[in-house]
Amino acid sequence: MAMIGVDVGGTFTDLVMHEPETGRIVAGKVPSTTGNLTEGFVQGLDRLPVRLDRVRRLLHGTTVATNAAIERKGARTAGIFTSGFRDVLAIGTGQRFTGGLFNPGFRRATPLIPRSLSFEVRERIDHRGREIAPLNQRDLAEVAARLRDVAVEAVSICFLHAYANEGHERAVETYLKDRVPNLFVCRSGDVLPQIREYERFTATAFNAYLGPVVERYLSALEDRLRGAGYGRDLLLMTSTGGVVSARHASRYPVSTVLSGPAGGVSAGLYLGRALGIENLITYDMGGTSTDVCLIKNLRPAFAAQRIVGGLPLRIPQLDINTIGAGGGSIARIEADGSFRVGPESSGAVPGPACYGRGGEQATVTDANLVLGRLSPANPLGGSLTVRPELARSAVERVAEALGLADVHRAAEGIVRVAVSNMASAIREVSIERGEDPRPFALVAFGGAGPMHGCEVAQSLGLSRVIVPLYPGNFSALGLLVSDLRHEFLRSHLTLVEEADLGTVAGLLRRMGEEGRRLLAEEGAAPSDTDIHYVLELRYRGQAHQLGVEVNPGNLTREALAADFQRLYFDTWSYRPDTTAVQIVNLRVTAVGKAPRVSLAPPTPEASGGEIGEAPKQVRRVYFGGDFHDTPIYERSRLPLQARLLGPAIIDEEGATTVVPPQWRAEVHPSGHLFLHRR
Amino acid sequence: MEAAGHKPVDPILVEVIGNRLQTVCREMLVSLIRAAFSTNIKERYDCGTGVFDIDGDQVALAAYPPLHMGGMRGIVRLLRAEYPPEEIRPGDMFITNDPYVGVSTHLPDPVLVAPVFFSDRLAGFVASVAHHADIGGRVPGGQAPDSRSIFEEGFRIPLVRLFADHKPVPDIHKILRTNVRNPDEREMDLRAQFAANFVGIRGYQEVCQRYGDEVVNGAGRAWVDYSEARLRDKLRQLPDIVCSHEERVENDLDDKPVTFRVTVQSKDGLLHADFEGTSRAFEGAKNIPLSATVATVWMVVKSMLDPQIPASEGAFRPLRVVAPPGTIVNPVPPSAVGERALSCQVLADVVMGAMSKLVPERALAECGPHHGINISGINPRTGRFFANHESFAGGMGARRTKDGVSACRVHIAGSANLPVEPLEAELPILIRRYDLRRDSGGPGRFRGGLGLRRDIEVRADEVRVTLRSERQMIPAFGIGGGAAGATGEFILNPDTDRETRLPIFVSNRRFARGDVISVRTPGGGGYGNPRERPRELVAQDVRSGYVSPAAARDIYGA
Repeated sequence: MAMIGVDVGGTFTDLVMHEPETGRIVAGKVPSTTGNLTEGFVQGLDRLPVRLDRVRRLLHGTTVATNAAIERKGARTAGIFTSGFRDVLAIGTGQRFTGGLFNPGFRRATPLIPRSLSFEVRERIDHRGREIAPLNQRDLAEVAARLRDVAVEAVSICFLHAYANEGHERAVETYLKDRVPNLFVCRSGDVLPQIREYERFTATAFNAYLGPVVERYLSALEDRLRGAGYGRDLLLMTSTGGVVSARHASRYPVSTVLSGPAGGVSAGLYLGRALGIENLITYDMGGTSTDVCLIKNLRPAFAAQRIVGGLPLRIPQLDINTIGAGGGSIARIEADGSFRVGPESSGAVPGPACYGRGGEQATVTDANLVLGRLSPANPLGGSLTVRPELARSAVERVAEALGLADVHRAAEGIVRVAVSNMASAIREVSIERGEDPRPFALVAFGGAGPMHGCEVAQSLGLSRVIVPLYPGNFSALGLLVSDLRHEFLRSHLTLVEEADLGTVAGLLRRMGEEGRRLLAEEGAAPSDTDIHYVLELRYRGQAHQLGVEVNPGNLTREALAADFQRLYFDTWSYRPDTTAVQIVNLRVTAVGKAPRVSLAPPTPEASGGEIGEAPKQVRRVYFGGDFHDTPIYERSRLPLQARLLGPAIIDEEGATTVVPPQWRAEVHPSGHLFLHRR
Repeated sequence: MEAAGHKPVDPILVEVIGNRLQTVCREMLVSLIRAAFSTNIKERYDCGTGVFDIDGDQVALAAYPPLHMGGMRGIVRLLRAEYPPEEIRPGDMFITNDPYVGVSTHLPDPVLVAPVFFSDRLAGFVASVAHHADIGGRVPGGQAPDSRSIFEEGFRIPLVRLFADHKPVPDIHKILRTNVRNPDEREMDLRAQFAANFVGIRGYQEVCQRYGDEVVNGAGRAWVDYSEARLRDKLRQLPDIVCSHEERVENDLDDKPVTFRVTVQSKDGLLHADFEGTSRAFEGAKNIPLSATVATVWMVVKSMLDPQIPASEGAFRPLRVVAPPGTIVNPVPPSAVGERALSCQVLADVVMGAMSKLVPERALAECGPHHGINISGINPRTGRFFANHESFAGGMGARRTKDGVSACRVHIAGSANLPVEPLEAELPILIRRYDLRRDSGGPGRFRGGLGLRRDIEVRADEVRVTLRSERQMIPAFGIGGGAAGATGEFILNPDTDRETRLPIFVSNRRFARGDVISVRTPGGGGYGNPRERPRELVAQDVRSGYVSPAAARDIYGA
């Protein structure tokens, strides 16, 4: 029974099929079909040598939610708020953050729910979950009537203290479900049952805003797949690097904001484990964007909060940094004379100028073609043919605008600017987080990553780059090795000394059981299931907590307080003059382990360091202001442990690795390509 | 004690080390916030941290309110002036909160500074500042608009050693504990500052471990010099003209008009800001210590010329501030200064008004400053005394091409509004309403940001409340034909038959259980003629409820 990972990006749809029984791996790439993404998905599947009824695991990474969130193309969304609090989303923290502190031009991102669609209902719950004012039925009826009038697709129910008592929110949900048809309804006590209204309401608003878009996409996709014979759950990558059923993702679309890029992190982690390399930076450059993430001690970085479309999103998520730099990024001269590459992209259609589909503007891919780094016979996506003369005239226009006589210098300038943008993205997740990136290995993948990996590494002072097997399909491969994963978080404020530990254990168990149930539905065997229980604790009077791993079967006040005090001292190096410890959040992670995938190197024709017949040709390639005679190799014909010096180009299906003059390359016994600075 | 020297460093390493020290500084801030107990620090982020080189220059600064970035500047020089090097030992930390020694900007903001040692010699310093919920004095929280001298505003601490060998100095702690209202909480907040400094020391040492302390100091100096050169370069591009601006400011204790006046000139890469003509110090607490005046000028210059410039000592160096002693902008003891943040907001509008003539394209209409509230009493849930300090954002002024931001901290302020749920979970307070004030944004082609309304119900007996404001009588004016924003208001028991408008400040007044205080913050001024505002934007404002149909008709002509 096969497994298939499908990673749909802005430009290409990448697929990987794996048969654990035979160890066979098949990779494929088709252009993404903008406008109707399911089309490309299914076309890609058609090319794989397997029938869908023989597939036991179909995994998917998608940028549908990401794009809708960033481009603000989500559903028309209304909000229902506790009376007096409809502006919580607009007021936020009242600060100028995300670079606004000294910026008189600062603009706060517009809330996802416009004020004209923000409705209020009289009701009130207090911090202990007690009702202060009952839910006003007349207000509710009025709001329901208004919702029908204003024609919204989604509604977000946001009541104060709903983490402590979901009763009122639930009642509104039930009321609306019966009376307003075709409405995506979600509520704060369900999406993120955590204290702090602004962050909870924002996550809930995101969920509603993305709901109809993601739901429509996934249900169309599942229909197509069912029609094609796939009878099991489609599994969706989430922002934590774990997968969940499409059904679950449709209900919590906010958790799929990083669905696209998370596969690459998962793959990087898998690679690090397989090679025994603990510190890596994943660098995934596709046609539209670049995603980077730090993996330290084989743990990917998590972010407490990420800014998505200008708004703070505080859900469990990887710390992935995305910028608009890809093979299709367009080079432009701005009105003020500055030279920019990206974030605008030519996308799949029309694509770079060299595709000859009507694209006129020079892109990073065109520049690489002009420089001779990209082989005309081996463009991204294999099946395409490219026209170098179109690339050349597009880059000539840039050279003219820049006042450069030499088209090659302009082309190299385009690549340099893109490289510098990507290096900055890595700085942000390393140097700016206090992490020196230089000891890390850069894992370069995606259609365009291996082409720029060495230059990106060089500009950051890294000396090692790894181009994995199947670099053009590495994210899709990452889907195959990802665990099923559900995260639950619930605020439950009580002092440890006063806590009813039976209740706490009961809540933890219930969350764990919910996790088990979801995992079982998604096909995980109980023996492959792990549940982790964590209590987030703090000293009474503090606002921030530390997580202590617990066993709900064995909770004691003494052990909890002692474990917390020890952890606190280890973290902050002092003990405050208080012993009152408070439970704040209950956190449960349910993991269903992925089946093992072993990545054998594709049958090399020889081994032992002899390159032998491998070079297929020599081409003049432009590096650092001059042309160099550069051997062009075919990766599949390079024997294991083969060593070669730059400059060199290594072509393969779906990607091109550029080894610049100061670098050398070696085919590692595992089949992955290791590049070192000389 | 021997001290490290400097080694010349290449530009790339300067950037790497400079960024590392910024990161250390941010980690200090995060630790402080995470370890603190005062709501004001842990939830509102009213605090800051700094990393200093061996010369006492601040290399890195982190804070949400820019005012704190000026409040730590002189601390290392003060320390070195008062303590000979052999008396500064590893594990020492020193404290002061005295604005009249040029460091903290009011008494509730103690600065804690610690030396960093590396291989047995002094290699640098770290410091933290945090606004504590109480510091003793006549009223809880220490900030009352009607305090007439600094002695009423709390316990004044000269620079003394608070920790020695990583342990509290018992005598000082005893004196401190005796003079504040909730000593346990104070102690724990000071421990949080201790922890933040400790994180800074460890971080600084790690950087020294890697590069050597002389390289770190060489890089620190180059980093500071770089900021200075960068700002001087910006200043050289400005026209060499003399620009003045003046404005009245509200006087809490009498209605005698009081004026801020500033004259600015950019000459030879220096910015001169002369406050000649500014009124004599207030009788009340809105005086601005010199360190806060300098920080305000710095904030305006950075905002208008180079928002991205690193916030190091280098960006302060090209400023030449002349503030006559005894005026509002350079008071002398024993003038009270507790409310300096409110008057700083008007001061910032005035300095910005003058600077706008140099860089008109970055002009900003005047802004609605925040309003503050202190609530204290016995918490019936715990039986313990509490003192809670909060403030709420007003509306930002409109810009040349944009509306002002609603409910937004402006200028020298940057703390968060307290979230409702954690506040209610901790204190006997219920928030009844928290939304934007319709028609409070100054009309204009670009509209000023709206102020907000927060209705706070007291749910305990015997609660005392202090209220503080600015721009309740004199609004934030618009520019280029834009109109003023709405003034702020304090209303007691709104929408009942007991509704009363309170004065512009209230000092430690008793409130009964069930009383509701409605705080309404001022809006920002507008930019340009409101009748030129595009129709569809006016219509959208009406649909959103930001502008009333009447105002749309009468003011915008829609």
